[in-house]
Amino acid sequence: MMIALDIRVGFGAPLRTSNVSLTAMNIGQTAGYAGANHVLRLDEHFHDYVELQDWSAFPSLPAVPWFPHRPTFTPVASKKPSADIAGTLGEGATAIVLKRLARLQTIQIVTLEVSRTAKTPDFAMQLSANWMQTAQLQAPAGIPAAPQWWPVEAKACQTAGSRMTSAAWKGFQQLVSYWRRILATSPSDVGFGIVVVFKYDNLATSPPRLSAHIFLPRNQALIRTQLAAARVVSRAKATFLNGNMLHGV
Amino acid sequence: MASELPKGLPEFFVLSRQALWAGDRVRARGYLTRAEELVSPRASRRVNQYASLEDIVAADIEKIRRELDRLEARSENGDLAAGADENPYVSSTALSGVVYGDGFGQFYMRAYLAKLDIEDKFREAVDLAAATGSKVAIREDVEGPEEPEDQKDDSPELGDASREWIDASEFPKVQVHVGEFTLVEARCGWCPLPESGEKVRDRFAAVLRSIDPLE
Repeated sequence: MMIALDIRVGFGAPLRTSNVSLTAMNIGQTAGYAGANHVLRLDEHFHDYVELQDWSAFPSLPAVPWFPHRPTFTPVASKKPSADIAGTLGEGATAIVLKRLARLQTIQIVTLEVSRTAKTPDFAMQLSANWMQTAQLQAPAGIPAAPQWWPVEAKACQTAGSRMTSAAWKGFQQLVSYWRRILATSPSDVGFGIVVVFKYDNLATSPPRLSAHIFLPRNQALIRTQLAAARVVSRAKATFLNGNMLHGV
Repeated sequence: MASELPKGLPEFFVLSRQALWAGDRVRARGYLTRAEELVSPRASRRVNQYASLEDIVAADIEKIRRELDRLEARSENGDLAAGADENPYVSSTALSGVVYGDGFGQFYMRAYLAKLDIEDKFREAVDLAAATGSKVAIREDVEGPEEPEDQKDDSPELGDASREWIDASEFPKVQVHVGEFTLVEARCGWCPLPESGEKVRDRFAAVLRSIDPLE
């Protein structure tokens, strides 16, 4: 199916909106390879979660007569999509979208393991110095030399609007955590990263949508100063949302 | 120092991930060993102490190796492979795969490109095989298109690289899918049943050769 993809710098207005073709077979295989969770038959999940419209794969369950309606015993009203499955589909969509957008080879996308003890990016992607030009995107002027390998976060959310923005901020927070960790060894790499959000619900009024957020430093010295501050990760939005440090933020 | 990875490390790490996806644990371990040899001595292998991208990859190598050890300890009684007492591995010059039994007379293969520097040539070979093979009916063929044609304005650089076709060059027909990455899935049904697992492996090996640019 065709899914609209908005590509933006930071949280700015889309630089470009394209349609991306995602098939159940393709995303099923890619998410099975690139996703962190071990899930079988992701193509079938993609069909039920994304291709079918208006939750038709998740029918409401009939009421159970005489069931005692107490707060502690509420009968299941309907099956729901799983956040972990949706997250894995988001990882697959992210790998596909960025591989196509930046014309990457398989060797340029390294899937990283999820850690419970430290926030690590979902992917490291080797992007050429002119990858934005290749992707027909206008980069802001005055960007410092970018790293070879960029951290990439994949996020999934069910509904559009503020949920998508909120998911992007969560991904950004994880980038901030990564930048803070590499600050001592790679100070020139802070501020660079990508977050892709996959809104997967397919409603007649709101079809699935992808949003790619490219983070580019405006003032790396200031970013480095802020990264050294205590609790910068949990306060990432408040700290960085001032337009001084990153383009489009 | 910028976020760089030692030369060759991404290749062997990606190959190990592909081999794991295919269920090729033997080669996955070999690739992991090659990758680990390229990790700098200074890299930390503890993810909660990472200070660079290389530290994360080094920690991942350790983690995957531990998972492989556990898997191998559990797989003494065989797994989904074509037969626990038979060799499930199949390959061509540049592609490696594993064959699985998938129900009565049904077989399935997962394979991957083991020489990542020839991805472009591999894509060309896949495009050619897909063009000469028979088309696979997809859901849209049965249920109708989901979008009007005028919405299918995919710009060239966002084009779908995946291909799916039926290879009918030999008996039995094989349904082949090559996705966005250098990964191959293939299925076939045997009626009558094959005389041996070797027949099944030979059929899948022929599919691999048909899309292998080095053959």
